[in-house]
Amino acid sequence: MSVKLPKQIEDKLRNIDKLLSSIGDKLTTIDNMFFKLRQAYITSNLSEFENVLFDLSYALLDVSREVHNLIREFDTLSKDVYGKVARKELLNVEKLKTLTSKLGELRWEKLSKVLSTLGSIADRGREVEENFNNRLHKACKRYFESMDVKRVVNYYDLSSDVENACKFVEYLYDKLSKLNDEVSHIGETFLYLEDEVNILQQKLSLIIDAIELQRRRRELLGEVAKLLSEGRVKEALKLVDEYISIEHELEEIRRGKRL
Amino acid sequence: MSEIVNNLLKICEIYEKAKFKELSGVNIPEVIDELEREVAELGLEKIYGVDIGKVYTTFKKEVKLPITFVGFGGEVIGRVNVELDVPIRLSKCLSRLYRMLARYDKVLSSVKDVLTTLVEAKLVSEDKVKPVLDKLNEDIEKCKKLLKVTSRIMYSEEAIARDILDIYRRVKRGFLPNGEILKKLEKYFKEIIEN
Repeated sequence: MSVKLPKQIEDKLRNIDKLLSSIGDKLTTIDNMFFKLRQAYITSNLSEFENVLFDLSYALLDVSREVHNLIREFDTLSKDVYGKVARKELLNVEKLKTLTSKLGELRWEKLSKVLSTLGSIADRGREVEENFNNRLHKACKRYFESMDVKRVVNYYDLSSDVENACKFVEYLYDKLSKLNDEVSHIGETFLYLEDEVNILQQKLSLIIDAIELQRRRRELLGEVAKLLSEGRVKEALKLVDEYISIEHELEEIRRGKRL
Repeated sequence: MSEIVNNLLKICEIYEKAKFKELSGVNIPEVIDELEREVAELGLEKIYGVDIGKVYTTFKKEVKLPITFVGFGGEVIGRVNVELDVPIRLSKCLSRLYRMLARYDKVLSSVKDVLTTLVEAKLVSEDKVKPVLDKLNEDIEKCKKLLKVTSRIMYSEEAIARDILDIYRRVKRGFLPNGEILKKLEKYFKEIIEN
């Protein structure tokens, strides 16, 4: 089934594939970093926790940039495909089937792998955030929110140490929350991309159906004419019924009822 | 166990035996002084500005509860001033003390929790916090003991007050015949005075 696609589309598909591989690799590294973050929290090594948070925010920023490029590449791919179909430059069933199959590979092999890694990252991130909030963040919130607690801490001459520690905890928690928000945002973007790939695949399948229906319709016209010339009216009428049903299906496709 | 707990337990014991008369045998201002010292030892009145003086004044006031005995025809057959003054006033002081101690307990536990969490997370030096944590644990224990004893006294005092009030209501409504009233009251107060 491997038919050569237009160069512009082949290039775009290759770029998308490369970007997905690169994002996938980076996300695997990020997943490991989240594991390190969890370990740093468990062992109460908060300076290591801060370092990993810092590295993670850069790594996620880098991935966000690539995700942005990926979405842009996919948008232009869709526009190219629709443009070529509209200009009748891509109305070859085999080519369209090849393109659909390549999109399927992207979706099932690369995209689902990326989404699964993102799920793992999100789980780890949420787990760390939850534990952090239950243990450290809640204690510090109690210090900041209760004047009585503040007074007692002050009475024991510990206010500057406790206040600095609590501010550090607030800063770490804020950074961790933002990081998890970023992971969720990337996840949502990938889900959107998955939907878009799915829609493009469905549209291509419909175009393939329409092309094949049109071909059959042309065949039917010839067959009906032949049967009529041979006086086989009943058989010709059966084929006319099939012709009408194909007409209906094509009309549905045209009106977008089948998508 | 600290002196104040012992004194409070003594009051508790007296209440439980319903020795109203003997309550005067306990030097209430002295107990309050000790209470004041005890709370001062906790170092909390400096933080909250607890007005121990108010508690003290309330203890010193005397209020007598007059019980009037009324016969079936509504005629007043006698009046007795029962010395419920101390228990009634004490009840107010105790509930105030109880609320105050409960608040201390909550705040001290919160401070302990905050400090322990920060030490566990290695965010503040254990050496610096340890003496404070030891003192906090001691204070929390004191608070809990005081809370326990205070609630015990409050409970006994409430039970006795309920008994007296019950007789008073029966008498007022004429549910107890004259002879019975006198017999019952005589028995009751005899018990209170003699025991």
